[in-house]
Amino acid sequence: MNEVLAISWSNVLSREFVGTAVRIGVLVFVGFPLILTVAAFVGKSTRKKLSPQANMLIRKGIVYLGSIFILLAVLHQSGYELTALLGAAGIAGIAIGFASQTSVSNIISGLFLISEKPFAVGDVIQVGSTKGVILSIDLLSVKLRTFDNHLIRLPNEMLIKSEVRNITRFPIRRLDIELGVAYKENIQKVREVLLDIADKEPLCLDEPEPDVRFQNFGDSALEFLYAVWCVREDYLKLKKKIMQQIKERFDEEGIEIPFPHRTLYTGSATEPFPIRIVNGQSEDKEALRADN
Amino acid sequence: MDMELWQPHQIEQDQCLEAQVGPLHLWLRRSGDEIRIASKHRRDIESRLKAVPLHPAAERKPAGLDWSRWVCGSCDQVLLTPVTPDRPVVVRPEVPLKIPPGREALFFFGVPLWVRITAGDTTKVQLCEEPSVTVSNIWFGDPMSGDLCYSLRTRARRSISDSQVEPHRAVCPVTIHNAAPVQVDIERFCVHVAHLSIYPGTTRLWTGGVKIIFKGEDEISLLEYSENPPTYEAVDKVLSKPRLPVKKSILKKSIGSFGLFGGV
Repeated sequence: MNEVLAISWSNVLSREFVGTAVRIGVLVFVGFPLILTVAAFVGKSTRKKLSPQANMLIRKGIVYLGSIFILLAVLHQSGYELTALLGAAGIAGIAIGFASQTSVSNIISGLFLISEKPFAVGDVIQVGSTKGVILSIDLLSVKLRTFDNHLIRLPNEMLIKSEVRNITRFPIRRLDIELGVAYKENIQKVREVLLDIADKEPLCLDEPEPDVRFQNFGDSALEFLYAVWCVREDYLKLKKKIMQQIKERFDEEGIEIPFPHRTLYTGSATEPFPIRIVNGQSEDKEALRADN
Repeated sequence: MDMELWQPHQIEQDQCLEAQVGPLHLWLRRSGDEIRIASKHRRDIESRLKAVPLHPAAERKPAGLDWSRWVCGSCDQVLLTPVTPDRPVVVRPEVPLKIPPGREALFFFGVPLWVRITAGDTTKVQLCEEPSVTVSNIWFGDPMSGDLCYSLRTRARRSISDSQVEPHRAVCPVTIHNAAPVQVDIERFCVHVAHLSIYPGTTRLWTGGVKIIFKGEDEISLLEYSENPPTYEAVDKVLSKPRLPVKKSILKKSIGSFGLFGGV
C-alpha cells in the first residue's frame, strides 16, 4: 500500500508532470486575461473608427478565437491527440451545420448588414407592417422598439431578404396628404389656400417648396396631393397641426370636403325610396310616427 | 441711433418692465430670486419700426401671457443685447439677379435679430434669446444632406439710403463676386451669420461685411467674413460679438438653385 502511494506520489511530483501543469497553468491563468486585455484594447482603439456593431464583432471574435486556441493548446499539453479530436469535431460540425442552417444564415446576414449599413441604432425602420426604433443590431437579429412600446425581434436573414424602409436616414421628410374637394370648388383657390397654410406654418420648410398637385377626377371629389417638407424630428408635430389647419381653413373659405354619395333604389322597376327631411322638432316626429 | 434699448436697466423687486424691439414685445418681471419673461410678436405694420427701451410696464402682472421663469439669485439689473440668429440665413431676392463672369455686386439685406436677455450686474447670467420676428425654416442643400437655415425673402437692396430703419434688423452688406467663367443666377444665397458681429451705426444696426466668391455651380464658394465694422456709417464699438469665432475664409456651398426631382 505504501509502495503504491509512494509510486503515485512520485508520478505526481515528477518533473515532466510538474512542467506540464505549469505550462497549462500559464496558458489558462495568463492566456485568458491576456485575450480579454487584447480584446478590450482593440475595441477601444477601433471604437471611433468603426460602428458599434463592428466593434462588438471584433472584440467577440478575438475572445472566442483566442479561447479556442488556448483550449486546443491545453489539450495538446495534456497529451491528447488533436487529430482525432479535430476529426470528430469535423463530423460534428457537419451535423451541427445542418441543424443550425438558420442561425448560420442569420449570422452571415448580420455580417452583411453590418458592412452595408442600411440602418443604425436609433433609426426608425419599417419592415412590412412593423415600424419601430432600432435598439440594437446583433449577430442573429435586430431588435426594434415599436411606438406602442413592444419589443420586436427581426432575424437578420429576414432583413436581408425584405424591403427595409429607413424612415430617418435623411434629415428632412416630406409629408404627403391626400385630400379631396367637391367638384364645384375652384382648383386655383384650393391651391392658393393650401400653399398659404404651408407658408404660415413655421414647421413647414420654405424649400423644398410645398406642392399641391391635382391628381385625379375621383368618384366623389377632385383629388389632390398636398406635399410639404419638414425636418424629420418635426414630422409628427407638423402632421397633427396641419391636418387641423386644413380643415379649419377649408371651413373658413367654404371649401367642401365631400364624402361619397349613393342613390338607393328598391329595384329598377320601382320608384325611388321616399325621403322626408326631419328637422328635429317634436311635431314632425309625431307626424312621422302617425304616418308609420 | 437711440442706444437706450441696449443699455442695462435696473429691475426692482416685484417690478415688471416691458420693451419693444420691432414686432417683439417683451415683459420682464422680478419676483424673489426669479426673473420671469414673457413675449409676444405683434403683427401690425407700425410695430416693425418701433423701438421702446425697457420701462415700467402698465400692469404689474400682465394677464394672458406665457411666462418662463429663471432662478438667478439677486439680479437687480437686466440687459437686452441684439445678436444674430442661431442658424444660417438663406437670402432669397424677390427678383433673381444675374451676375456676368468677372463682375461683382453689393447687396444689403436686413438680418432679423434675436434679443439676448441677461441678468445681473457684475456676474451676468444669460437667461434666454427671443427671436424678434417669427422666421420660417428652409433647407439649404439637397434632401440627403444640407443645413437647416432661416428663410429670408428680401429685396436685396443695392443701396441702403432709401430703406426704412427697422430696429429689429441689422443691415448686412454682402458682396458676391462671380469668379466662374459663366453667368451666375442669384436665386438664393446662404450667409452664416453666426460669424458676424453687430455694430451700432448712426441710424441703424450693422453687421460685419460678407464676401462670397462664386466659383461655379458645382463648386464650393469662398466666404470671407470681415472682422472690421462696415464703413457705410460711423461705428465706434461692437454691440455683440459673433456666436462662432470669425474665420477669415470658409469654403462652403453658398449659392445654389434648389434642383430637386420632385417625383412622378
